Amino acid sequence: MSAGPRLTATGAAYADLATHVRCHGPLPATDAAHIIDIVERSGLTGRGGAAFPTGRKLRTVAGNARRSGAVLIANGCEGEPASAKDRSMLMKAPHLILDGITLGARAVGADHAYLCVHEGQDEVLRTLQRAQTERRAAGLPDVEMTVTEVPNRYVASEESSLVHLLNGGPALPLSTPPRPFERGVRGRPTLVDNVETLAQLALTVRHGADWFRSAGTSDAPGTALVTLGGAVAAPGVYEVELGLTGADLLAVAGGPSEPLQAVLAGGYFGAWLRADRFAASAITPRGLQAAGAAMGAGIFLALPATSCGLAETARIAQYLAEQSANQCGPCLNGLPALAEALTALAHRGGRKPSGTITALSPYVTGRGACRHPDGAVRLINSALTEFAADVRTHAQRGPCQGLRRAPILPVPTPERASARTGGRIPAEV
Amino acid sequence: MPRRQRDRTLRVDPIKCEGHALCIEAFPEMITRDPWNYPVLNPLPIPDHLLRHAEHAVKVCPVLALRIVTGDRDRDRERK
Repeated sequence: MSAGPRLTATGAAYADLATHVRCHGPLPATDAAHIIDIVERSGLTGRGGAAFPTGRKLRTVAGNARRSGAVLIANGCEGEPASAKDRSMLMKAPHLILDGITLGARAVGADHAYLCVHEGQDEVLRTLQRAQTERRAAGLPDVEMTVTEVPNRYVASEESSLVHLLNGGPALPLSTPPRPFERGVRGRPTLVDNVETLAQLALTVRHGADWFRSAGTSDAPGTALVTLGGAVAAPGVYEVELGLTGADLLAVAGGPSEPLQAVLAGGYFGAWLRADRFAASAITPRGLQAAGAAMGAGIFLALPATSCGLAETARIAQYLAEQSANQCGPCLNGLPALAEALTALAHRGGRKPSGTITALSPYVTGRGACRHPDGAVRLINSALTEFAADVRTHAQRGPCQGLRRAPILPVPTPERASARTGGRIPAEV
Repeated sequence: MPRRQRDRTLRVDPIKCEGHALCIEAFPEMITRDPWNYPVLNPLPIPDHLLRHAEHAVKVCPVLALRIVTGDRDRDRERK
């Protein structure tokens, strides 16, 4: 990377406060207007999946909060099963995230922040505790913060779910509006930002908008953390400059470990791209959207040529169906029906299943309170498009050889226990 | 003085809706059935001459999931 690593610049497995300050400089003593101005001009967009302009969100929440005060939620939940970047940042560079929380809170006028992580991550909690102890000893002017554990469920880390949880409810999506930036925790305008976004913000406020834009492209400036997995030589979390090609992105992880047929871009909220199309795509939110996929939370999973893309997608579809909050009819009925049809196509073949998927999909997209059903439908339909030849083969001759291979894509074992029970809140750290 | 009404559209709260489908019976002109008996709403403005049907559909919903919203402020579900 020509600009060199930024978020990961210390290279440390854990950057303590002294290392952090030596590498990045001290926490800036900047005021709200200045922070918002820099972030707006930098062009930083959210790194949690939606790629919304961070500066605009800061300004909106700050404006809404003029009388009531605001709340900040740092989302470190990493709901995507294949993602590892948020945990990696929390473990390696917690001070960058905590700086970002303090600066973000200052920008929107929040007197309290919540850092949300999925439950059962004791190492992350210990690391945060250690970092907070170091900051207290150094007397940093941090915003008051609560670390909150969130149930291990796909939809639990959706922003309205987090607000619901922090307001004493279960971690399930709410009907919107109001959106959190209008009325969120305790009825106050709430800024919900991914932890990487806040870390990017912490560096941008230090070094300025031009510095931020000196990496990446004009429409997708800066660096981003990506999780590269599947059939690559060295799977893991990497920091890359936005705008590189798909081929160069795979090369960051040592390149494909065997011939590829496709890459799942954007995680389980993204879409499949045939290997040749992926290789030529620009790795930016807009570039991937143009190709029919998404940047999402920066997850890229490479599928070997000898795997069955339909069977892989069917497994994820089953998982996503199980992960429905079961609140909205079209999601709780539609996702299992779609997953069932795709499973039938992958494992039994026939002409009927793909017709079922095409017929049902429009009744699912856009009809939930959250975007969970939309994401699942997009993924399933991208499999029908990108693996169109396989769809025909399965329809005419039944299942393919690829079914003999062990699955490539990670799917967690469902934890139905936490389905409707909500989380322990708030766990003081 | 009566102000010129802005566009009125139907809106369902997908979490509240339990698929009782009474609204579909009450207002078939703009509410149709999905494969699981849940209502699919026509997103276009409700024509004036159908407004009473729309209001009736809102009334028959046993879980108060259906509403008529005015203007586009409520309608925009900017989901990020």
